[in-house]
Amino acid sequence: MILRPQLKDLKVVGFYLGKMILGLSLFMIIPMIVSLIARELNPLLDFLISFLFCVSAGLLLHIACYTTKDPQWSHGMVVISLAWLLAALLGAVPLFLSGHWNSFLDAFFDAMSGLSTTGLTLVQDQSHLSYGHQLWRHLLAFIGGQGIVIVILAFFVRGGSGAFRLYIGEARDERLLPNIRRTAQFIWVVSLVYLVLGTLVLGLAAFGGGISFWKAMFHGVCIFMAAFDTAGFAPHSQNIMYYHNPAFELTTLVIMILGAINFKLHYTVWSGQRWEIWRNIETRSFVAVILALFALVVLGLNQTKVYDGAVSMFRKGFYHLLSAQTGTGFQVIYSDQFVSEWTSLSMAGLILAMSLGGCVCSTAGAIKMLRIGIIAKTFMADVRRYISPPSAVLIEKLHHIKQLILTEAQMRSACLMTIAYVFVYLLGAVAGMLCGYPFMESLFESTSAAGNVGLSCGITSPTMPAALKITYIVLMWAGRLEFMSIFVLIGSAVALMKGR
Amino acid sequence: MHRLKNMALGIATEIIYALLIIGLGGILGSIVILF
Repeated sequence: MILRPQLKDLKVVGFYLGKMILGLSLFMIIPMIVSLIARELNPLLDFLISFLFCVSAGLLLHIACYTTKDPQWSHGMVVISLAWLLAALLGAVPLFLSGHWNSFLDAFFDAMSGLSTTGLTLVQDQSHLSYGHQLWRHLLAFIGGQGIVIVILAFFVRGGSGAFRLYIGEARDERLLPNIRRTAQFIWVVSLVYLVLGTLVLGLAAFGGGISFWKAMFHGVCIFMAAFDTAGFAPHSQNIMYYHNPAFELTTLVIMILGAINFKLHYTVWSGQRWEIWRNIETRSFVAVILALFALVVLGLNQTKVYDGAVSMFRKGFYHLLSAQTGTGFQVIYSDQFVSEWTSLSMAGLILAMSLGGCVCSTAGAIKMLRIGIIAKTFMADVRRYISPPSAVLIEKLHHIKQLILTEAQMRSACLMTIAYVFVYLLGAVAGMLCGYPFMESLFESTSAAGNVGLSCGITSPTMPAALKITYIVLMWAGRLEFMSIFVLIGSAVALMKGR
Repeated sequence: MHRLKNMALGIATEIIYALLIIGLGGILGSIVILF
């Protein structure tokens, strides 16, 4: 028997959704200030309208659903899945008002792409977007990369068990500090310290490349937010190719890797346990997977000799591989060059990298390295079991922040989550094929959307069918939240209709 | 002061890790091209 949610349950959900919306509205003040400084009146009005709309909606929910009750597990999951949808809908309002998106669906697509740190875009005439709107796209990626709930936890919610349930719902299953509010604040500290450093280095690299100082700094901020939060947006339609700058590319490579590192590992390394970075199962798996897949990509690219020489191979092949593996989606070639110049083998290397992703509890998406490490350990444990005497007791260990014994539950969870991701990648590929695109391109784009990567081989464009846009929106949303919150939302919706 | 020092050394360690991956990628790419 399914129990129908009661009014008090709906009030908890509404109350926390109100807090989330109010938190989002505060972020709209930043592009408003930028628009004011840049003397862009129309964008300023776009953000003012959106801000007032968000504040009204947030206050209405907050007052109408006021409660002192802490959210339970199911509330947390429902709040998170709805918060991401609502944030994308409300975040799309200023984008749509700018007139650079064909429809509200296109603006919603970009807002979800930003929040989920994917980076696929349907914007028109991107290079002429106002400063305010440019910053808003990147800010959405920054907010999404930290996690919407982290924003709220850090500033608006007292750190209790209810806050922890919200935190878990956002696919962050590692607590850095005993207090969940301090965990959220530490995540902000890491991001803001790197924001200052990264912006300076990228800004100076762009300035060295011939861009005026303040514009270079603006590009530095935008590109940092897109790189560290593994989103892949850029102020220009040519993405990173626009800069034609090896120093810029090298800096983004470093920032992408930093963004794909587990926040718990950041905390451990920043607390003085610096050797952890060399011992952790995730960082080791990350290096091993990147090197193996890069060999595959190079072998593929060598088949047609499209890039002659090691430097060219590195700047194109390795850059895209790392961009795919970290889930960033920065590109230094045009989208259609993947189809016209890259072989199936090198495309397969990129698809595998996109499907595997970075570390858990980072800004990266997809299956993630901890699960890959656990699956590899499980495989080795099985082999060892077969070659050992039947009476032998075998214990498999792994090092993740501390020495852990690998449990059946961890193995099962890693395998199930991997199967779920592969299923979703294939489902998206089928949707692409139903819309008339070839298998390889469909799988590439679907993996990019569900893995929150953002590399595109050309399918994602304002002219693609609306059904495929909606499919990719769902894939980005589900991929970012790692499915569970969405299943709970669906279950709650069913309970609301059919429960007793 | 101690926390700031740890933070600075932590950042340096992470950047070295990132540069190591990039360096290994460069070396591996060159080797594969050669063979």
